[in-house]
Amino acid sequence: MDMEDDTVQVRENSAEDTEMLELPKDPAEVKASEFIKGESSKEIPVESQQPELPENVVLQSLEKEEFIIKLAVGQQSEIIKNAILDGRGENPVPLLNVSAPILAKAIEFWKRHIDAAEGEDLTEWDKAFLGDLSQEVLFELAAAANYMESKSLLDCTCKFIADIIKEMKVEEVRDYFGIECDFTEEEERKMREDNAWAFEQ
Amino acid sequence: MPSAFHSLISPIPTKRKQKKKKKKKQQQQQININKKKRAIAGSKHGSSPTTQSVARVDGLQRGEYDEFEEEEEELGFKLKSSPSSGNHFIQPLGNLLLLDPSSNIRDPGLGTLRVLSDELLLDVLALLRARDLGVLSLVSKSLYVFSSHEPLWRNLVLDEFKGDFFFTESWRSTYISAAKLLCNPFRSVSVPFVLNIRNFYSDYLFQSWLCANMEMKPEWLQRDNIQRRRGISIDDFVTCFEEPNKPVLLEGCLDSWPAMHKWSSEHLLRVCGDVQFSVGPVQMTVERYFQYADATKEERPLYLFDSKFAEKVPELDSDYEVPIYFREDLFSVLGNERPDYRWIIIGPAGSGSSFHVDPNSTSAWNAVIKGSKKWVMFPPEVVPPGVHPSPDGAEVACPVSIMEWFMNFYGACRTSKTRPIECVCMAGEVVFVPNGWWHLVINLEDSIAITQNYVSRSNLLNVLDFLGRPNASELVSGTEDRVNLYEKFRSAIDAAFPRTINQLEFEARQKMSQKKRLTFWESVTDANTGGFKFSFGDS
Repeated sequence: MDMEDDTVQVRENSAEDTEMLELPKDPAEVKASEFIKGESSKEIPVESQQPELPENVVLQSLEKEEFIIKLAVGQQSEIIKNAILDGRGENPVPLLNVSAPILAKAIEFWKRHIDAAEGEDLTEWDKAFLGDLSQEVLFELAAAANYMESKSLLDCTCKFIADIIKEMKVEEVRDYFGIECDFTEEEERKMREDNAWAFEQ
Repeated sequence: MPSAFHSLISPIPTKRKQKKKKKKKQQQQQININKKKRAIAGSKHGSSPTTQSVARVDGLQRGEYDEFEEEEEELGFKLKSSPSSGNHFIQPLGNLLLLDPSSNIRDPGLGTLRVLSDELLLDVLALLRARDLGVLSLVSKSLYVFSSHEPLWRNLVLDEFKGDFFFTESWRSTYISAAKLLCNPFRSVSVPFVLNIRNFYSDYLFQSWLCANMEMKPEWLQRDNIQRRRGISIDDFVTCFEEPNKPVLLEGCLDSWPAMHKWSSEHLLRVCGDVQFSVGPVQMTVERYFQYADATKEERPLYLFDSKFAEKVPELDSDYEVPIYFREDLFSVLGNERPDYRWIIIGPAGSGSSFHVDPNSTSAWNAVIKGSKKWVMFPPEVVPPGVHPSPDGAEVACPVSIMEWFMNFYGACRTSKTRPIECVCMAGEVVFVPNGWWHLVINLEDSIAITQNYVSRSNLLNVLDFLGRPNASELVSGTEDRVNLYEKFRSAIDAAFPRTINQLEFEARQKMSQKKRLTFWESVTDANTGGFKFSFGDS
């Protein structure tokens, strides 16, 4: 049987603008009611061995706040998908590692992606969506995507974070992420010598 | 056994440096104090199974070597005498228990990125180019540790240079050398500056380092419960092992192989040093591969595994022959269109293959020409601990490396109802892997082997059944023409061996009905009283 290669592909960076991003505002608090069924969304056929699947899924955040979303939306997370297939979709799917505001953002992302027209390119929307988030929220969203096993959201957030870092200089990285340098002067000097190749044109 | 391999490390023990007694007592006292503290506190960070002490990675100075040996005793593992590169201390989180958690330089050195787990941060770093990693390594000591993570650099090397690289002590330095040479061939590679880092705690990175530098524990190699035979007849082999689908280790089959006395590293270098062979995701010359294999210390070393070796170097083909037991090779009816069926396997100690089932429902034999291999095998119906096959069988997820599997899951096998079949296969011996059996293999030293997969009459119906499945396009491997393989194979067999399939199907049906008849009679006799009970319809 073919085993998956454990190497992760390094993606070539595309020519994107590299100006510093403004620190974004915090997202407004999102209420569960915004996600209650009644909104129309595209019906995506669902692969399943179960004869009947619930139309909606209830998700429960860390604070026990509940979010009701459509099945197709929730299936973008493997954890949620498996919970549905196990017949637990009607009961709240506990996502105890995800706080409510973060979960709300994830749901917003999934909804937009499900609602996308065939072949629609969401790159710009993704960038704007993530660009609006504060660093804290962005990183927590990445962590949540990892925990909930949502490949589309995870890939998107990781790429976005990587793109922030790309082309940054050492001081810019420190400023942007609030990192204090803990090298001694001597160490830093030697490191720069050693890594001169990284700074050559 | 095709495909990519999770590999491991454990080199042949090399000469140890001279011990110096100076710091020993001090170190031992500190370690004892730590032990007591941990015993009292209990572990909050349960994930790391064995790690209890500082692991120094590279940059060892002469006087400090005895510290290193103390760490070995603590760990309960043998470490390689000169561990892999990465100029820093990585400690497991368990060491942080009673210390002030703020002394972990990981988080301050990451700033807002600290909320990302180690794995997630590495996923982000995997999207960066070499220059970005170089810049990051200057930001803080914590980011230096992350950006130096060897698997990141391995991917960069393989992506950019494919097999065309000259391995120098680490993937990072290999990349830098290769990249430098591209732009400035006359520049010498300077000796890297050894950075002294303290108070960096991370379970994930520690585990990774540990697996890259550990040797196999002796108790993992002790159990050897496989059947061994020497000089049995083909009939006996078929009756006792092939038909009932049981593994066996065969001795004495390779005595006539020229390869046994010819195939040394030197010989192979002479004969095929500049021939490109498949190594993991790339092609490399044998010369470059050997040079890499000698120097590497990784959790999953690259493995030379080539299915076209006989075509590439015909002399190799004439240096071995298929042992008598395995000469019925029905896929041969397909001629050139047969799936990949034979491989040369070369790898350093620690390379190998984590749990998998061979493709197309075939059986296999694996002959060790040089070196030795540890085998762990489970029957088809027993999924090994730690392994998660997908429902349709198309994918097998064994997320841990071989060494991690031994550390975390091997112990469970001793107490489980179905123990695995295990052995160490030495040079000159052949292991028969029956179809459907799970197996894990690790090289205990630099090894050269040949393996072939085959189909005989014992297994023909199984294989046809497998190839004929609706999701054949995902499951069938080793050929470009997956969907049609069933049709082609079936017609070819019918042409070459008319009525064989029908005969086998007939025999199989007979066996099934015999079984049923027995069951019926068993059900009508009263075993307890010995009397005969006439009861129809009762079960």
